[in-house]
Amino acid sequence: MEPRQIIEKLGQLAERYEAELGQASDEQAIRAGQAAYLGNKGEVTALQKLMKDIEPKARKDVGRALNQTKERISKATDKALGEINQRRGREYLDRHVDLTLPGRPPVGVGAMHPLSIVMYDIVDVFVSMGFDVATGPEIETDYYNFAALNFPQDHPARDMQDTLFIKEGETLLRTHTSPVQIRTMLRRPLPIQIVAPGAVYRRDDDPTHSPMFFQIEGLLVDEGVSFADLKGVLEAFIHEVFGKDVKLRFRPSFFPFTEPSAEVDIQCIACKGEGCRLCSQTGWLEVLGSGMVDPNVLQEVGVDSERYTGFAFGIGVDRIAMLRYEGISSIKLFYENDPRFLSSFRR
Amino acid sequence: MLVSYKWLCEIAGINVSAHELAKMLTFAGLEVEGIEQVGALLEKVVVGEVREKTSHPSRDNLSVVKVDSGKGVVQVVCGAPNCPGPGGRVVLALPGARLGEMEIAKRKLGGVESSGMICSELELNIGPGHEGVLVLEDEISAPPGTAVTDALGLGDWILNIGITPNRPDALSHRGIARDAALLCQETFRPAPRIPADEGGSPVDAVARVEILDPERCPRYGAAVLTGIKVGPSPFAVRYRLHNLGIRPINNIVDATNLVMLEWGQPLHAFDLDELAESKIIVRRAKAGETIVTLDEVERELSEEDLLICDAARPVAVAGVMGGEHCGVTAKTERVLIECAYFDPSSVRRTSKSLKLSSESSYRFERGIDPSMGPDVLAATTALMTELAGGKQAPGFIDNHPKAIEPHKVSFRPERFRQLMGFAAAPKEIERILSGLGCGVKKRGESFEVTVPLSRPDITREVDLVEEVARIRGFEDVPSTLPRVRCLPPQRAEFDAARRVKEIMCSLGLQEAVSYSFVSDSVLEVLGCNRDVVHIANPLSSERKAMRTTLVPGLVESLKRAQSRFLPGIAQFEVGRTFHESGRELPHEELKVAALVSGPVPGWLGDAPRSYDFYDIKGIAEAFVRQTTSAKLRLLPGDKVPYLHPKRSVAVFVKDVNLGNIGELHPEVAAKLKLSRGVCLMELSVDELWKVKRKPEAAALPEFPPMTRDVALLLDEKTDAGPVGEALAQACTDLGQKVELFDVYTGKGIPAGKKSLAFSIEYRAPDRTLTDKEVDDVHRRAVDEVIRRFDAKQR
Repeated sequence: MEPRQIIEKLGQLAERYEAELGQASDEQAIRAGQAAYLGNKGEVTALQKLMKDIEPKARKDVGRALNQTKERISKATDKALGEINQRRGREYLDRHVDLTLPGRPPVGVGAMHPLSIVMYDIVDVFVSMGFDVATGPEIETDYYNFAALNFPQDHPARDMQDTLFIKEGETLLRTHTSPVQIRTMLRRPLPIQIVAPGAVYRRDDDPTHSPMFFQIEGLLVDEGVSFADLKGVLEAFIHEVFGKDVKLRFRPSFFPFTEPSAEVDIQCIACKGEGCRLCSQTGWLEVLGSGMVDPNVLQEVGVDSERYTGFAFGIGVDRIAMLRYEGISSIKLFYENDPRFLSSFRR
Repeated sequence: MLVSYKWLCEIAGINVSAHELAKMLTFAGLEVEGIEQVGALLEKVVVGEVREKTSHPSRDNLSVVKVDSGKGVVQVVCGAPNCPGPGGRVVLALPGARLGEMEIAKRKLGGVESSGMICSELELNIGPGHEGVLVLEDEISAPPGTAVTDALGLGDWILNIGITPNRPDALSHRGIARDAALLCQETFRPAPRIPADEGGSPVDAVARVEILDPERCPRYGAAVLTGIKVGPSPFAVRYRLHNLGIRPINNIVDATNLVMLEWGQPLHAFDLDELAESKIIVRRAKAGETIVTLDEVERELSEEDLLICDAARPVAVAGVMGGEHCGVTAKTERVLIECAYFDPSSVRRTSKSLKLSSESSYRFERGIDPSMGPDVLAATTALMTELAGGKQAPGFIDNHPKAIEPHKVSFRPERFRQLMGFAAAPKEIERILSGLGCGVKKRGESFEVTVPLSRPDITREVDLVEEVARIRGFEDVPSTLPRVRCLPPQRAEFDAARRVKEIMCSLGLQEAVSYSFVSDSVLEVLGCNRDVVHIANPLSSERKAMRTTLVPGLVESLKRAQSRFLPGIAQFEVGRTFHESGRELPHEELKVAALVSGPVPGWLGDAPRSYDFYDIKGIAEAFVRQTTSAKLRLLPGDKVPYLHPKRSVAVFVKDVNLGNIGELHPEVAAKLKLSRGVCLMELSVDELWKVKRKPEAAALPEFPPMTRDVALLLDEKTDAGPVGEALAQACTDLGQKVELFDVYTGKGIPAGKKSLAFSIEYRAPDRTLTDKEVDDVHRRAVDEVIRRFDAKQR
């Protein structure tokens, strides 16, 4: 064929292809149509094979025409495919589905989150000792989270908890479950004996800290409640959760809302006190903070602190869960919700 | 706070092992978080005396030194420019000595044999000095060959003690030593220092202090030293500071730091000759006034901030940091030492607003002992003249416009018993309180206790109870169980969440727990960006908005699973969502959400399929049925923007819209980079619990049922629900149950049509039905439905 003829033929092919495209109704037809032109045995490909016999002078023109044709065909194909896709999208949005058909009965093996499992186990221990369960908002006022709990304004004690504020100085994400103490004492008559589980937040994000974690607050206020009672109750709790032979020790510490305050360590459950990696060779693990409710807190909620005394404690659920289930290498795993991780735990 | 065991023992006059002491302190509320031995085991590192120093034959920067090692003279090649000549004493590491990673061995340097190394402080890890080798001072008298650990008194333990904010007194060696002495049953009686030599004009004649704000600065003491010579501190001082985490600067600054570590009183040394009119003025800053602090940052101040000024300009931010002017330099000959008490909250506010914290502000904001000024100044001048020579201008300045009185607290041993659950002997109470520095007077059954000003945390009886309990230790407090009173439970929300989780687990889903904060952009994509509560100081923009829906957390779980090559998830979450309410606190709502996506687990040979609308519908139906007997209705309308408009319904119980279920909207899915077919449910647990009714048992029937089936040919777009309902209505009270059991299109069914097959169970409560009775009712019902829906019976 003459070069001029080839160029003419190419133009005709492109036009014919575009006309045929209009007829194609689905992706398959379009792809087949395109192959008939550009495929190995396609008509355009057949013309391309003639290139080698064309005199060098004309080769450039034919080459250009070839490329333009191929491009024209490809573009037309893409456009048609895009339209079909759009149409299919519209169809997917418009297609009638009978939503009144009955739902499929669910089957499968579910699993509660390890933090929930541990939280309910802990709460159950206290409930069986006579504690009720209270809750409170996760976004709190400065008053309930700090001021009423004897954290004075401008006091370094406020640095102990790095806070996420909604409105600085007014509202915040609660940094502990302790505001539930205040809310409960304001709402319920004495005596009070509650635990308050829930999410808490700190502005802390590193391999060993999660900005959100779970705590269980405990509060018992009545006449004649003493530190010895606090010891007794927490011992009973630890023995129930970790076993009767686990030793505990109480270390003096400081929390603004309790006085005296104590941190509680348990004998390392991995090495039984011998010293290992889990307990940083100390033989002990810090598990909770506690103390006698500070009279300032009682007075703040209108409780006669001479007549009534009480104790409070705060347990880190994440911490207990990591001690109870082996192999949880990072607190972050609790919040990643990997299905394989979530299916690992049972009560 | 880093504490030197050796120094502590020296001050407290006690003799216990470092580990024993650490345990005692920990169980008295001063938690030792770390304990590290320093200066030990420097084997084969000895004092050496230089005998001869010659130039290296081929290298200009090296010298060849002959050193007496105590056991003969060794030849060492040394590169330090300050290597001393004959008579100079150095620290010599002999072959075989280990210095950190490095082991000393004989080798040749530039062709000359070297049998050891003359060491710098850095190489020995006993100080920061690395510019030259350590040259021993004349005061260190140890002969050559003495182990360097002994010669320099290097052996010590450094305790890292976590000081709680209520114990400002324990931010000093003396404060901790007081507890330590009491715990070891020793009387706390630290040895006084020999006062500095006085000379020249009295202090009042050479400097003046004026306090313009006695509220923020109740006390300002000062002393002046003249004729001092600023230079490096001796090794022992540098070594101690180094171990306690403070960089040695010069003898004057080092002395102020050492005194601070001993007493807890931050000090500041000014070059008196640089202070305009030799005057200190303590005043509040003017709005917008600036000062360049020692760290070379220009700070803008407000009227709340307190400044130390000379007659012309500010020279320090009170209690926080000195300014660039008037500091001690190599040329300083006269210093004024500031020893002040600043109001704790004032220092804290300034430190916070300038975002500038220092050893000084840390102590001031917790509250130092305002009464110790004179003693501290005396100790400081004594130490400074010892280190830098000179004389003290006679006397001290002690400007004391506002007296701070010690607290008087009465202590009832009975109250101790009441709070702690056991009695402490009055004698022991008295011993402990006096040991802590309190004045104790017996008044009948009680004690009248005067609390030392070093303990601003003790203001009430309960604080004294804590002190006695803390020193006694909690170990022998008995454990008892409190008397329990039965109280009516009030735990609805807790129970609701728990019940919901249990049901969702029983439906085969895994519980997820996600962060309550999400990104604004995901809420926008979901169209759930109304009434969003924002965190003012978020950790990142991805965690800035409080979730208004639980969907983002589950979507995140799905995406994470997919990124880990897991095809899908079936998870739920129970948690709060947060909504701006216009009131002080946002509205919080307890919700349950579920997401199913990907392949449905099947049994051998089951045709593989993916979760679809009917799965999430089944979950929603089963969930609601397990919580309430009230009728569940699923209605189109009340769409949520993130769900597919034709594949989602609103969930109603008793006319209350609990939320929605459906497929994720394809456009939303595309924006979230998810494929189609993600099925979601989100319901309000709070709303459900308001309308919830306990499921009730139905009376069991006495008479047998009769079943009739019917297949209807209907238009393809006719929904099965209304047809079934119409059948149920038409089949009278005798038709007790109408069940759809087949939906069919395909062979035998005309295009645009479908077949629905229902099974109806007929039963009467009081008799056995006859065939005829049932056939009549059934016929009428079918005819009615055929008429209403333009159907044909198949």
